Amino acid sequence: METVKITNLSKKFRRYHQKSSNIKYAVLNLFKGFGSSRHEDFYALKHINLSVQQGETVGIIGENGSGKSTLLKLIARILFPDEGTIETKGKIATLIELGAGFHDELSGRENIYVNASLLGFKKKEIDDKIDEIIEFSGLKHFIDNPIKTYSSGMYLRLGFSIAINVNPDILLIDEILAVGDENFQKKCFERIEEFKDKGKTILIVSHDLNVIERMCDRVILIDNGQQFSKQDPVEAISEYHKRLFQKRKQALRLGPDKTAVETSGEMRTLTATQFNRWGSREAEITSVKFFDDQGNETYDFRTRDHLKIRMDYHAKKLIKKPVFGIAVYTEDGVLLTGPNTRTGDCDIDVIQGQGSVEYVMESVPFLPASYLFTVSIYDHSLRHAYDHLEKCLVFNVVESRKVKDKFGTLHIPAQWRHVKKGKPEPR
Amino acid sequence: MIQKLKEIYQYRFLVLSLVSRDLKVKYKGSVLGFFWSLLNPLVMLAVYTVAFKYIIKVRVENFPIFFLCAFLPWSYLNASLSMSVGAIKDNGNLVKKVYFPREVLPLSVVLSNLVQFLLTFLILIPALLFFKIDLGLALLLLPLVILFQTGFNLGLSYFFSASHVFFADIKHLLEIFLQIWFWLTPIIYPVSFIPEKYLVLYKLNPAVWFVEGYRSLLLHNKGIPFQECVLLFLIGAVFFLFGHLFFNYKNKRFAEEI
Repeated sequence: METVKITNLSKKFRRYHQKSSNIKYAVLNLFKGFGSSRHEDFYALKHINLSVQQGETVGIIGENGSGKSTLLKLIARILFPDEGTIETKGKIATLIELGAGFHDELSGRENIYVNASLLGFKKKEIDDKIDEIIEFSGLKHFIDNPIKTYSSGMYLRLGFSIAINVNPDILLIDEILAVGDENFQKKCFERIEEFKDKGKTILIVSHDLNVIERMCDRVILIDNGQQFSKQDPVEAISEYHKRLFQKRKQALRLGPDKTAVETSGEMRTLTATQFNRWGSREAEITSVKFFDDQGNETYDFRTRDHLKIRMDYHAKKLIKKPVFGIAVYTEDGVLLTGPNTRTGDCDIDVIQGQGSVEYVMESVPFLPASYLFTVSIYDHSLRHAYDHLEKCLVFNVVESRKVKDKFGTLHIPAQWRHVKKGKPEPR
Repeated sequence: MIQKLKEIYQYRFLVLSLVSRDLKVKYKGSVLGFFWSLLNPLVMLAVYTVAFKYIIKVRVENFPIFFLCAFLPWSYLNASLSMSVGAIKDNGNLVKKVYFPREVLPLSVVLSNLVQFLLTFLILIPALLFFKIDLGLALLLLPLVILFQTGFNLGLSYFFSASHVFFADIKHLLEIFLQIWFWLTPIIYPVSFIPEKYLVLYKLNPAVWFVEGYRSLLLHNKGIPFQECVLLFLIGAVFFLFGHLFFNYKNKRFAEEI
């Protein structure tokens, strides 16, 4: 049975040049048409077709701003389509915002009622579920306290417990699987698996491609509002990597300077389209630069070259025990290495204001190819991201005379030795 | 339209829990609790009585009752509008993240004000008895008038809350508008104070009809003529319908514009 059917769906948004929701502009614009100042339409989604059968789990991937969350919101009826139709069968629950509508003054229990009714449930249905919800959240002892006394983790746990324990036919999930501690996360995944087994339909939007690959029967890749024709998870994901890489290369080649994160202004424009960036931003990476052994800035290296990476940061307030980390990926998104200052025994006590962190490779171990580079600042537990720039930069390793290895990705410092039988070579 | 109303009905528990949330939050932690709702009109009553009966010397029989019969419904209207104007925008995080019929937001504001309005009858009825006002069969019409006024309030709330999403200044305009409206409505003076030649214009104000209706039932123990009943019904229905349609027309772009 088809539970979600989307036919030729398009969605336009307005981009205002000058949003006139105050009286000055309204008066100025009166002659140009009331309230609707100069704006242009742009398509967030274009001609999307999708048919989801009952019991399927479908992943939606794409860059920031590609339109994937818009698609989910359209299915959830939060937004309305401009063209095309969306038909859904059965009750929809959205895990888009956890704890939406919570009120601080009310107790956890009272909030369960308000929140679940927001998801369209009746008192009786909630009465039947409430014990299970409380049990799942693990907040039994706090449930009658006002939730202003809750920690943010408890808050999210309660929200998730409500959303996951109501019994929808279609579950829409947007980037919220990173909730709570590992234990709770495991519980959440188990519950979602249970959902799958019960033959419910699930649509997931996520940047975490591992999750997508693990859980989804099909994957929709959305790029610039348009969908990729193939929906096989492996094909869609590798296509995603391919396109990401193409774009990044182009962007970097076009830029005045090869760092994607040179100035904050440029960074912002790149954030929206070129790479994913997240974090609370109490501390920010302001620039990332690569240098050779002469101290010249370059992004082309040879295997076994000396490579120095300098990350400049700006901490807006005092941050204790931050952890700086980097990661290097192949073009296909395979993680090659992901060291950080904590595992590298370079503990940083506090940071405040500006500064930089350097990472030096005495000998570049990569074989000729292009590589993606990620840089981040986390808290000491590595759970909370201050700033994370996922695959924000590309560097190249080019052919060299020193190293003639051709196959694979890595150059491993090692020696060959031929041992003749019976007559070991003298040392 | 029928479908939409059905859907709102399906979400009745949400309306109910939003209303009870509103009321609970309002009174939680305060010592006097819901007596504040009663205290407020009592204080206003005292202030206006002193000002208009003893200082300005408006000659009206039973001024306190005369005032209360109009002031309480007016407060219901006033509070409904000024509280619901931000209902959509202030709940932006909900509107942007969860689906539910958006009408529920202004609706629950109006209904929680209705509950408080009904509670104020706890003052009004004893006051009527205290001033030895005859109460009779006319009271049977009261629920109807309250219903029609609720339709009227709701329609306006739909209109203002939907406009506010696209035009933030509407909130401030509404404040001023309500001030002027208060004085254009016979709350602290009788309709007879209005010069004959302005009377037709004056009566274009729908609130005049509601206030007069309440007074007729509560103060004069008189029924309301059939034509006026129909008029009240029409005012309630037309405003509700217009507000509802306008709201539904604008509804599609709420989540994008907030």
